[in-house]
Amino acid sequence: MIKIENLKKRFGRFQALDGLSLEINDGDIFGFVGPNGAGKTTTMRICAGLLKADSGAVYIDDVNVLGKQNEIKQYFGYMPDFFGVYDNLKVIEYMEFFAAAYGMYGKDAYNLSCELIELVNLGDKKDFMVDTLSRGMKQRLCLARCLIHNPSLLVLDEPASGLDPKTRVELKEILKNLQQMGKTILISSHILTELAEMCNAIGIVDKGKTVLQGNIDTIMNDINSANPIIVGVEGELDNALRFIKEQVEVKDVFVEDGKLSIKINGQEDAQLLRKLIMNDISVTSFIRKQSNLETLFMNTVGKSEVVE
Amino acid sequence: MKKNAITMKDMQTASRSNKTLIGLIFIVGAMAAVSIVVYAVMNYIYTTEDYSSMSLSTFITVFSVMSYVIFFIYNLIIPSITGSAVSAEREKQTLEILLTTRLSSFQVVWGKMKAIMYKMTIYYVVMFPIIGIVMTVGGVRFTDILLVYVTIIAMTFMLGSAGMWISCVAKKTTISIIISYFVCLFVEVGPFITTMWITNAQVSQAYLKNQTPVISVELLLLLLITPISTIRVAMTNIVGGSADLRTLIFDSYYFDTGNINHPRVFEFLLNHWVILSIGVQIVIGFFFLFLAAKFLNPVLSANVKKKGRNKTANIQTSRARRNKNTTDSGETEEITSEEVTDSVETISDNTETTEETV
Repeated sequence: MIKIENLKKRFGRFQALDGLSLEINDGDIFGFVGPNGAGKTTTMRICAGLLKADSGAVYIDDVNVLGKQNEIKQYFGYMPDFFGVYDNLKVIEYMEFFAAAYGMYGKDAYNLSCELIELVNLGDKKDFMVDTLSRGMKQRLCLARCLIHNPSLLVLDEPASGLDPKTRVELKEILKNLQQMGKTILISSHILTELAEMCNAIGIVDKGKTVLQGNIDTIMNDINSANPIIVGVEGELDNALRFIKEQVEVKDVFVEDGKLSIKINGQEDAQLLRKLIMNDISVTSFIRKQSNLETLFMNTVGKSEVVE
Repeated sequence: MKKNAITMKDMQTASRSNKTLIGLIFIVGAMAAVSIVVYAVMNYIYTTEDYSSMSLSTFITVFSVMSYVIFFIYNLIIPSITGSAVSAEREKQTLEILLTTRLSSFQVVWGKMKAIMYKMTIYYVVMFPIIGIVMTVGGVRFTDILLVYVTIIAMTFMLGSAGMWISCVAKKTTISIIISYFVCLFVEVGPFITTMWITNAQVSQAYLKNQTPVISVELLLLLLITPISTIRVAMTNIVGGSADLRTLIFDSYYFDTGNINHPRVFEFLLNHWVILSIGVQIVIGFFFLFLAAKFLNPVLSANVKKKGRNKTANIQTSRARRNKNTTDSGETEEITSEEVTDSVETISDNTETTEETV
């Protein structure tokens, strides 16, 4: 388990991180979301050992590794939001170089490099020069490079930015595979719908603080439970509207786009539906309005700005 | 010797680079041209001055001139190679990635320095057949050629390390290379000018007071860092003759041991000049390498960079504040949510951020 606790970082007068805390369980794909300047990249760079935090702690299995560069380099595989590739090297040589940077040489380095190149579906490109690869291929190569020392946690800064939809789907598949292999992945992205599909946990940061974090399904359920139920009825709406208003569990009801939008106390959905049917109201649809990650993000970040 | 991944990679990429090929052709071509010209000139002088034939010393002179030319060429090459060593990695955005690997920042700069020294050795080796011509006639031994090599490699290490440090500090390769050339020029010429100027002042002052001038031997120590002094003394040892370090600085008259404040130290310096200056240059080289490594280390360099960051952050904070004001007034607020495909949505915020810039 990786626990980031009360991380602080100041650049001059700008407080980039102001007590940021996160908890990432083993095997999670953790979506790290926040507006520009919220502190995502700073957090990731601190985790990768590229920046020194002013204070705070990064625990890996209850051991604080902050400031211990060797431990950090061992546990974390960092992929920045740029490729960083060498022009005069072949794909296999690029991988072998990074294997050598981790102390692996010769046949071991070659075999491992081949294995990882296969893992990111670049097996047929291993003798190609790196600069001839497409953007998506370079991104996958960088991902393979991150895995060369078999890190426990992959820190990926906007890995899908600038990729076409097909390549994004491929990247998503690779990340899912890595999760199944037991890797924990911390991933920042602005593509919220994709994060929702990929991640099982999420942390929203704003102004250097964690605004919200937890299991994505639990968070979405909590949010959705506060959403209105949209009910479609056959025939006149007035009767149904009058009947619904009389029910004790109903907090508010109004007509929206020819359908009834009902806010109720607690989880009384089934009871309300039963009452409607028993009173001969022809219900054509009965569905709770679903929020998506984008709505959640906008609401959360918006709220925090209002509080400030 | 322990393998260094950076050295291996740099040598591999350099072997495929057109620059290396052009460099080799240029060096061999230049050396061949110089040796032919020098030989022709010497031949002309000997025949017109009615000597019966060219003597052994002709070939030694050819070797001497060739060594100085090599020295000059290396002074031209080193700043351009080392000045771009780290800054080019930064521009290619590979530096951060390297620093996240198990390689320490010292291993990164040391690996690069080793690759540069290997390249310089290769340049010397390809010139070897041309230099070796003089060996076939005699007068120059293999150890002499080796001494020139050691002198040049020591210079490469010192100037290269300085260039490497500049390359770490400067953000752009072009700026880094220009500064490296200036540093190279300063190291080669600066101590001479300083020593000459002070010596001249001491001598003039002594004559004004009708006293015998006494030169401070401490001044000579400054010259130990200058590779020109090393190659000059090394060549004097090889070629022979009366010219030595004294003639380089000022009229040798002032450097009679009677005019030196510590004559025994002076004699010791003159007798061990090459080894001492090579030692000093290696020490200075390591000093710059450690500085470069310290600057690259994200944890150690935090304090070094803090001042610069503060400045950037202050600018960015005020810019961000300005943006916020304009956003509040409704002038530039722009939050776009654009559906690219069914499954791809992006939210972009055009607010300029401090974090990214920093």
